[in-house]
Parts: sequence; C-alpha cells; structure tokens
Amino acid sequence: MLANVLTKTVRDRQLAILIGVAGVLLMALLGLGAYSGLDDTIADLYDSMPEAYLAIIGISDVSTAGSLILGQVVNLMAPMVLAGLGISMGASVIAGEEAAGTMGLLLGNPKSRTGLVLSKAGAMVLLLTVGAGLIWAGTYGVAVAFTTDMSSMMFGAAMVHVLAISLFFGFFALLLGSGTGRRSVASGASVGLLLLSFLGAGVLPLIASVAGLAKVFPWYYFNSSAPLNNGVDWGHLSILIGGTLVMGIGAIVGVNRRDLRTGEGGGGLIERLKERPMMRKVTKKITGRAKVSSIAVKTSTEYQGLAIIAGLAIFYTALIVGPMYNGLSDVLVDLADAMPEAVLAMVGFADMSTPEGWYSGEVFSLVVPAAMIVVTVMMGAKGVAGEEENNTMDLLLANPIPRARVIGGKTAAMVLVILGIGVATFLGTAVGSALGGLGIAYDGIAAASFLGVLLGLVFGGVALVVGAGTGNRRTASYAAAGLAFVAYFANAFLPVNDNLASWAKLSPFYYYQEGEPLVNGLQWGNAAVLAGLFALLVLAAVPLFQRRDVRG
Amino acid sequence: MTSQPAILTEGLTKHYGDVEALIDLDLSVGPGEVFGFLGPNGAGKTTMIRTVLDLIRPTNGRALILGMDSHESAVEIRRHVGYLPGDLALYPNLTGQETLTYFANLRGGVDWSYVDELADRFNSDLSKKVSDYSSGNRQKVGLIQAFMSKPEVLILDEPSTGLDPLVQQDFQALLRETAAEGRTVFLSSHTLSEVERVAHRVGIIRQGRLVVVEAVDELKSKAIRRLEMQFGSPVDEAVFRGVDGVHDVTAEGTRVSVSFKGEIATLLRAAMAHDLVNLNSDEADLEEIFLNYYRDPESEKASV
Repeated sequence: MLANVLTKTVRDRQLAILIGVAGVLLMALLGLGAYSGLDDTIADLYDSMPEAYLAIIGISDVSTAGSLILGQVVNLMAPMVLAGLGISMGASVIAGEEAAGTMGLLLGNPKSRTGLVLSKAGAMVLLLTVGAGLIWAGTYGVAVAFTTDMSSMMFGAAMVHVLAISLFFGFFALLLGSGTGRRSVASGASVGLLLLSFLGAGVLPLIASVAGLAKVFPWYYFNSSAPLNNGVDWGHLSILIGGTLVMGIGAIVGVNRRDLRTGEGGGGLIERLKERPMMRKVTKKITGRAKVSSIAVKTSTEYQGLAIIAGLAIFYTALIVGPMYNGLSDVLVDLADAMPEAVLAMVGFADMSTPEGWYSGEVFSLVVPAAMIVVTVMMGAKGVAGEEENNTMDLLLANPIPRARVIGGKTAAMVLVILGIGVATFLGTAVGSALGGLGIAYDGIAAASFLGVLLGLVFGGVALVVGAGTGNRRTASYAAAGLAFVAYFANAFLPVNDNLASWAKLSPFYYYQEGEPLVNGLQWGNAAVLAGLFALLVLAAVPLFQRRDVRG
Repeated sequence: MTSQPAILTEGLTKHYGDVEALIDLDLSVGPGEVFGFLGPNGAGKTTMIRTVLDLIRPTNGRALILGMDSHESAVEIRRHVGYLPGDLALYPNLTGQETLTYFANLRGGVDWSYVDELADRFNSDLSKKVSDYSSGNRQKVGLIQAFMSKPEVLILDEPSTGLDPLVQQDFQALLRETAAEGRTVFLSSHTLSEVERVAHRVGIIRQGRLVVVEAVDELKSKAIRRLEMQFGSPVDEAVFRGVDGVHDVTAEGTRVSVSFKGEIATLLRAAMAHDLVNLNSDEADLEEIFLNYYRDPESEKASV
C-alpha cells in the first residue's frame, strides 16, 4: 500500500470511508426496521401531500415506507456522509501535507506538484466511488432483508448523482486547500457551502419569487431532478462533473503558483484573516487577545472565533426564519392539515403551521443541534487528545496540576463557549419572533435554547470521554459525531413504529425535543437527564485519563 | 540542603506489551549534582524521564523525587521540578510571552524579573508568535519555561537541540550555576562534549538497562591516553613495558609512543631517567569511552 502516493492515500483514508458507509447502512437498517409494516399508512398519505413539502424534505416518493427511507438514504445521508468525507480528503490533499510539515519531504522526491495533486485526487475519486458502490450494494442487501420492493426506484442512478455531488464538494475543498495551503480554510468554507447549498436548494423553490435562485447551489443539480424516480439527469450531472473538472484544474494551477508552507505556521482561518491588513482590526476584535490565566480561560479564548461564527450563524438563521413565516403561513397551514403527526415526526419536523412548530422545524430540529454539536465535539475531542497529539500535554502536566484539573478546565471552557452560542440562539429566535410578530413565549425560547446547550454538551462529553480514554482525537470526534448521527435518526425514525417507539428514549435527542419546549417551556426532567448524562461523561473521563499513560 | 537524593529510582521497569523499554533501573542522583544521562536512540532515556514525571506509569518499581513517590505525589513533585521535553511542542497561536505567562499561571510563584533575566541571557525575543520562531528560538522558550520557577530539580531532555554554540555556552554556564546553588540537573543528552563539560556524573543506558554510572573524573582517569615522547637518543621499548598503566609501546628511533591509563607520574619518572626532549599528550577522549558503552554489550564488564 506504500507503493505510491495514490495507494498510500487510499491506505490512510479507507477506514474513514468504511466507517461512513457502515453508518449510512446502519441508518438504512434502522429506518427500514422501524417502518416495516407501515406501508399502508404511508400509502394513504401520499396523495394528500403537496409537492412543495416533499421538496423541503428532499423526498419525491413516499408511496411506501421503503421508498421513504431509501429516499432519505440517497437524498440526505449518503450525500452528506460522502461529501463530508470528500471535503475532508480534498482539503488535506495539499494543505494536509503542509500542515503536517511533510510537504518538503514529499517533494524532496522526484515528484511534481501536479503529479501529487493528480495522485491524491485520484485516490479521492477511487475511494468515493468505492464508498458509493458499497452503499449501493449494501442498501440493496438491506432492502432485500426487509423485502422492500426497489423495482420502481432508480437507486443506481440516484447513487451516481450522490457520487457526483460528493466529488464536487471534495474538489471544491481540494481547490481551496491547494490554493491557500490552509486545511481549515478549505474544509470550513466547503462545509459552509455544503450546508448553505443544501438549505438553499431545499427552501428557495418554496418561495415562487426567488425559486430560480436555487440554481446557483450545486445541491440543486444533485437532486432537483429526482434521480431516484427519473433516472440520471445528464444535463445536471454534466454540470456537476464539469464543475468538478474545472476545480481540479484550478487546484493544479493554484498549487503551482504559490510558495508551499512548512507546517509551522499552523494558524487557522482566524489567524489567516488577521494577516490581512483590512481584516486585522475586525478579526482582532472578534478573537480578542489570547488570555492565559487558566486552562479554562485559555481554551475558551481559542474557541472565541469559532463560537462567534457558530453563534452568528444560528442567530441569523433564527432571525430570518421569523419574518419568513408570514409569507409561508398559508402554505404551511394547508400542509399541516394534510399531514398526520406520524409523518411529521419521522422527518423531525413539528407542526409547521404554528409559529412554534415553524421554528422547531426550521431552526431547532437541525440547525441548532448541528451547530452546537459541531462545536462541543470539536472542543471535547481536542480537550485531552488534542493536547496529546500536539505534544503539548507533557509540558502542561509538568506543572503542578492534577490531570483532573485539565479535564475540569477543558470542560469549563466547553460549557462557557456553548452557553454563549445558547445565548445567541435565544436572542436570534426572540428577535426573529418579534420581527415576524409571532409572539413565541420567551421562556419557551429560553428553554429550547438551554436544552440545545445541554444536548450539545452531551455529545461534547462523549468526545471528551473517548479522547480522555484513548488520547486519539480522531477516534473521539468520529465516535461522538457518529453517535450523534445515529441518535438523531433513531429519535426521528423509531417513534413512528409503536413497537419501537420506547427505544427512542435511548437517544439524547428525545429529551431535547420531547417536551416541545418552545410551546411548553422547560421540563426539568428532560433537562436533568441531559445534564446528568453530561456530568456522568465528564466524571468518567477523569479516571480514564488518570489511569493511562500520556501519549508522547 | 537535604541529604536525601533528588531523584531515586528503585527497580524501575516499563514494558509496552512485549517490549521492555526500561528494565530494573536503580539510580540515585544527589542534590546539587548535574547528572548526565546518555544512551543511543531508543535506549529508554525519554521513557525513564516520562515515568519519573508520572506521564507514564511504571510496570514495576518506583521513582522518588525529593523523597516523594512519583505517582502518589505527582502534583506536589511538579511544584519542585522544571521539565523540558525532548520533543518540545508549544502552542503555535501564543507568543513566547503568553506561553510563559500561561505556564507561570498554572505553576504559581514565578518571579517575572527572573524570566526577563533568562530571556536576556538567551537573547530570546518573547514578543513573537511561537509559530514564527525557528526551532532554536522555540527551544529557548522551552528552556526559560523550565528554569523560570527556580525549581529544585531540573529534568532536561535533549536541551541543546537547535541552540547555536553561543547560546549553548550560556546554557552550560546556567547549568553550573544551578548546581552551585544546590539544585539538581538531570540532563539527557546526545551532545557528549556538553555532558563532559557540565556533568559531575554520567549514567549510560542501553536497551533499557543502566550499564554504568560513574563520575566524569573517574571515567576520565580510566580513559586510555596516548603519550608521545621525543628523546635525545634512542630508548628501548622495554623501559616502558613494565610501567604501571602502560598498555602498548612502540619505539621508532628517538620517538616513543605509549598508551596508558591512570596516573601519569610513574610513567613520567621512567621517561625522565632518559634524555627526554619533548612530550605530547592527547586529552583523554571521553567520547570514545561513551561510544564503547553504546556499542559493545559486554563493555560494562570489560575494563576500559
């Protein structure tokens, strides 16, 4: 596997692809398991559902439970997972070697920069193709096991579209990474575009006056043609592939035109912005000066920039969603009438005809938990394992502080940062609700924001405990993010089937959403479960870290 | 000054699975001593240091720092220990000043004027970001960090990595001053000349075992030296053959060359009995002794 750059890249990345594929198949299994036997109920609903609603949830055929789940697989899970992996690989192609300081060594060999990009991009194409193929084959297997009829679906065509959109985002990250040498810039901007384009392509077509704008988002060319029903749309596919090729060429041009970095200047996006004279003042204000009075303070100032970005993202989303309700409320009331609770629950949306339901569906079901969990998992995974991987743990522990204090400091920082994002969530929703004249109760908003904070902390706690036990940052973040993914879908799918509904209580998302906090305010029981879980995870992290050798 | 050892290990052993990284290490380093810890790559130097600092846990045996158990009193011990890791990494987004402030805050009781003094001494610009430092300048920040609390025990793993010769000299002077104040320096190093210059005693570790612990002077006196003598008239080899400590004699006309170890007095007396015109002696080559220990598994038994 070390024969050349391509095979080495495959070797380094194959496990991540396999884990991603396994995660998608696990969710397909979970979904089909939960829905088996519900075909009749779902078929009855099909005719009554307006197409616009189906477009938001990215599903064009819900005639059977199987098609609903498989629709989720190809429209949401598989493209998100594969595009995410593509971004991770694409961003690392050049910028990863620079960050690791291995670029000099690599190019000390008779290998051109262009050759390097081609080898690594080749590995990315190979791995994503294999990943898409495995999801295709695995889903067929799962469908057969549940005797789901796939004959009317063009699953293969849909997976071709999945592969194309994944490669598109992978190459977008490759373009940025090769051009800037900054992995964080490349992956951050790519993930941002991915989410923006997913939301834009889903929501814009609902509003007639701006429907055409959806075409600026790559996601539009991925599934607006409903490839699961209609087969491959060659026009759309060629736009994605063409874009991918252009970005590939751009990456080669970019990497050949600039000085390569040595990896010592490991600053992230914020550091990069600080170097620009025009941005210096603003970024310095945002990030403040590094404060080093304690572990908690130092750690939280390191995440100040990220917290502000995540907080602003939630704030603005929550802010715009309020006024939008007025324009859409007629459609939404019709939709709500047409749909039984079961369908709403399965897509994680509440009754969108009420302002609270609208906010739950648009802001609190996905955007808030996703943003919170991304931040806490990153902080949790880096808390202990990050210091070890950066080789700074030895120096930190050479000071007269017990290991428990390191965990305490990192935990305090996580709580502090996520509380800040919680406040942004509250403010955005409160102001958005006021702007739209929706009159959502403030205690309800506070409750929902607070539960979001607690939910984020639970998964941050998972990342912390795995990092404390293993000293491996990647393992910690994959484990926590994977668990969050599974927990989200478990809570969305399981309640639909009465026999399985009670299993949803195993998911932390259940306690986040169950009490409808926007309507009912805080239910202390739910908050206590999440807070207790977080406390247990942190407490478990202490002995795990104390008992083992520090990695050096 | 207390009489208990600054560092004491008893049967210290560390296994990683089947790999025996440290085997039954018994060592005592006294207060006010500069102890040089030598050994080839992978011999167990860093493992020993990280075990003593409770970063990793011994499989068997124990270590006492200033009489305190390395695990039971880990936190208290670190109040009295300054440490420089071999593979030094600092936080790239902090400046040198911020880095030191952070550790000073965690440690408590650091006199900032001493930090400034050290920075002056090492000619270290603390206003720059760590990510902008060269590796040598980063190392200086690491060194200041280790010394700034005036700890009773300094544990330094490869401290002169990347330092230029002038700074190395300053650093060695600092080590001597530290020892003169009764503080202890445990110095793991590959720079044999540095160890030779500053260490009172050295220990050599090979494949996880401590193969020798000896005072530097003692080792030097055991070193084989070459002495070249020029006489006014030819001298017979046999004159030197029987002399104490002499190994090997070659005579070519009026020039006689001998290898010897130990005191030079007897050898000189024998030479003075003849018409000695000139003599030339090589400095005892400690490096060669060290290397012998590195190389030959049996050398600890053989007389040097």
